[in-house]
Amino acid sequence: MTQPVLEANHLSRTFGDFVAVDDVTFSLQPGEIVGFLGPNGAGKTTTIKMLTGLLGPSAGSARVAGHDIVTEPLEAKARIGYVPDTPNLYGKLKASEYLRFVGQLYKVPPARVEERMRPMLDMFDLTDVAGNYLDTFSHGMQQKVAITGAFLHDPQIVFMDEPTVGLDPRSARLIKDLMIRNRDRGRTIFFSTHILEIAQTMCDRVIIINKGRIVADARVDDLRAMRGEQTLEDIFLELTGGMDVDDMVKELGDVA
Amino acid sequence: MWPDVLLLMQLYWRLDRRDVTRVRGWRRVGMIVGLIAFVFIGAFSAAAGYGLSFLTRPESPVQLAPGTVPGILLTLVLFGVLFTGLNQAMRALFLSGDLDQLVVAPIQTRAIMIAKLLSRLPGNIALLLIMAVPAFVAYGIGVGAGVIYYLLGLLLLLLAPLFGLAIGTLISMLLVRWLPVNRLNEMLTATYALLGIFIAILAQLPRFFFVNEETSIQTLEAAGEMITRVQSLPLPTLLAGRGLMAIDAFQFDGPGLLGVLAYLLLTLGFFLAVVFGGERMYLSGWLKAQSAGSKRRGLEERDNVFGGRSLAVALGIKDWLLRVRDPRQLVTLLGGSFIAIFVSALALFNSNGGQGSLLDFSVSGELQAPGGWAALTAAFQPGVIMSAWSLFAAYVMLSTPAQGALPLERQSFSLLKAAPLRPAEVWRAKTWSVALPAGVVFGLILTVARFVFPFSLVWMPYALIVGVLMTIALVMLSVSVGFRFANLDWKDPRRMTTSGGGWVGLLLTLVYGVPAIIVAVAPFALAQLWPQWGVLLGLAGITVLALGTWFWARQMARWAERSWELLPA
Repeated sequence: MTQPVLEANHLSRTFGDFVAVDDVTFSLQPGEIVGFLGPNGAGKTTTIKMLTGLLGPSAGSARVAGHDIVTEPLEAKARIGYVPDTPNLYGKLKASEYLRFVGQLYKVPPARVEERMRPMLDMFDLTDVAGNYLDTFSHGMQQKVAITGAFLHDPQIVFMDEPTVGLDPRSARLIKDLMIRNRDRGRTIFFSTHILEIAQTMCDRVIIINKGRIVADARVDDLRAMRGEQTLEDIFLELTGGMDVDDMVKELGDVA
Repeated sequence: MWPDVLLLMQLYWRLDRRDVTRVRGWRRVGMIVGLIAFVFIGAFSAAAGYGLSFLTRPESPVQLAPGTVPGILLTLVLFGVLFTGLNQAMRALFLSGDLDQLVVAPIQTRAIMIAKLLSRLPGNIALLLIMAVPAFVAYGIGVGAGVIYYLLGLLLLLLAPLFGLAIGTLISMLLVRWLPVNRLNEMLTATYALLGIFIAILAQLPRFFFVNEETSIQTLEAAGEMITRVQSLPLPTLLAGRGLMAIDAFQFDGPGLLGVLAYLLLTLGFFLAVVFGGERMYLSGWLKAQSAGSKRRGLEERDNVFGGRSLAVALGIKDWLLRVRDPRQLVTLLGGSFIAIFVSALALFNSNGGQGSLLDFSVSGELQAPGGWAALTAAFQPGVIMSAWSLFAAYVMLSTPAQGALPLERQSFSLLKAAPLRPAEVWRAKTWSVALPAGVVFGLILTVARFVFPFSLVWMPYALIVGVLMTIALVMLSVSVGFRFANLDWKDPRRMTTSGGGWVGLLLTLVYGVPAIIVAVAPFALAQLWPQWGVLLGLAGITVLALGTWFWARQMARWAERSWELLPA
């Protein structure tokens, strides 16, 4: 078996008395797309922030391609791409300037930046506006620039927090294609989403987190087989305590 | 419509009240200091109002009609609200975050407009109560005015903000048709920052007109003549003042009454006309603001300003691009430096109160002690004063960008934190990106000052070296304060650090600055006694200061690194 590209070992994070992430352990292999699912406030973003080095864990450790994110942050971060849930870009930089700056941060040679940036800008229909300031871009356009930036240094693993939020169907499809192409090149994609159809159709594997704890970690097909061919939505609701949703919907219908 | 107006106004007032009552920590201290300052302003206003009442008495050398002062007061107040009104109207009508929700709700646009504008009144009225009402009341006491003066006068004063809001509403409804809202927001903040700078410079004018007794009398006479001329101008506000006094005295004054009526039309009438007639214009302006776009600019090679440069240079270029492309930051940067140079130069070069300037004293040798005591007064020699001034000007000019170097990242900080960078690398890049310009500015100012105001060149190289060292150390300090007290959610560039940053920055400036100044001046002072050791003393001074600065740099870098981990990403 190849070396995991990411290993999370007993990761925990507390904020005061509140336990946001509780003893999370999993590993990711090269060349897989893994969906990270969970209800609002389940600990998805906190986990991703710990795995990318944005937030220190209260306990446990994480290794990226064998490098500990806390003790060897530079080696680990050089192998990571990160797309946050909200694309907070420098509004007063032009899109092309932003991407070239990101290239500098990740020590990508300028010629290589141009080589990787141009096709992605073309793919996202951003070439014609690449000279515009980012504060004139819509949320979706900024999201596409952030995604381009995250893939610019050809990272071994890309973390994406809700990558398709605010994107039109065409752009969402392009991102899915981008993820699949990178998976096929041996890269790993780890993304959180609330859209279970995307997870069901795209992911090789899903990890479901609820109240800070991992409640499922399996291939989608295996998970469905284990649960009597239920849909991913039903499995998700069952595991995260949302099976009463049907009753609630019915109740609301009665009230209406 | 009115229940909706009331509901929205209650909401806005509650939110405004919470902004004030939920202030904690340093901000609360700042608020108390502000309140004390307001008490002084109110007292000054009252004293001015009472003093002006003497100009209506027969024994006064300048004779004013009783209505002149209230008229001038109303004119000044209307002029003032004209400036504040545009800012308030623009922010309330087009830049508030709740408009998406309100415009789609079943509420008349007019109700939104009225509620948003009227919700700005309490702040305006509070300002009037502090700045204008004390003068108005004290003047009334001075001239022995009756009850009608106070009642009608206060009504006229308190209606003034409506004029500013109405004009501001009209201008903002026109502006949003041409400019994107975020660009307008930046320009508005920049304009008001410029206005603040202009007022700060205006406040220095009395230095020129009240130099000694003779010029003070001339200035007061000229002011008296000007007021006499102004009081006959047919301005509605001046006539309203005249009408106010006539009504109070139960006399008939046709033009005065017309003035009061015109004033009511200008304020209340104009406001009502705008809110009841401008509903469509507001809605269409808002819709236009939603669809504002900009010209498409494609991928251009000349935008490649980062390619191939070191990380430190790339970070520095990026930071300066963000600063100069944001008009708010540009004005804050240029404005602070302009005030610093202007005010400090006035203090040094311009005679103050007729007693001669510091430099005059210095050149005349009056500040130099004889014999062995000369070492103690060496700091007052012209070259030392000019070096200190150059250091002060360079530091003030660049301390704001230094302190804002990390907060400049705002939420994009997560990009830096997720990248394979050491916090120390970022700190170094940000420090040098400001320290280098600061050092150059220091050197330039000192060199130019030497041509304008000649002083001995013997110690010039020493002054340049220790000055650059101290400039760099002070920039390091500011950058580190920015790391520790970064406010990554800032919207106004003057709020890039949290409130404790300013105080800690000041304290650290003293911790480094006082010993550094002593070390820097000591060799020069001792050389007054033993000139033959001058070179050695200078070298020793540079060495000690360089070592101290190096130690300081290490401490600042460590502090910044620890702060890095605490910053939310």
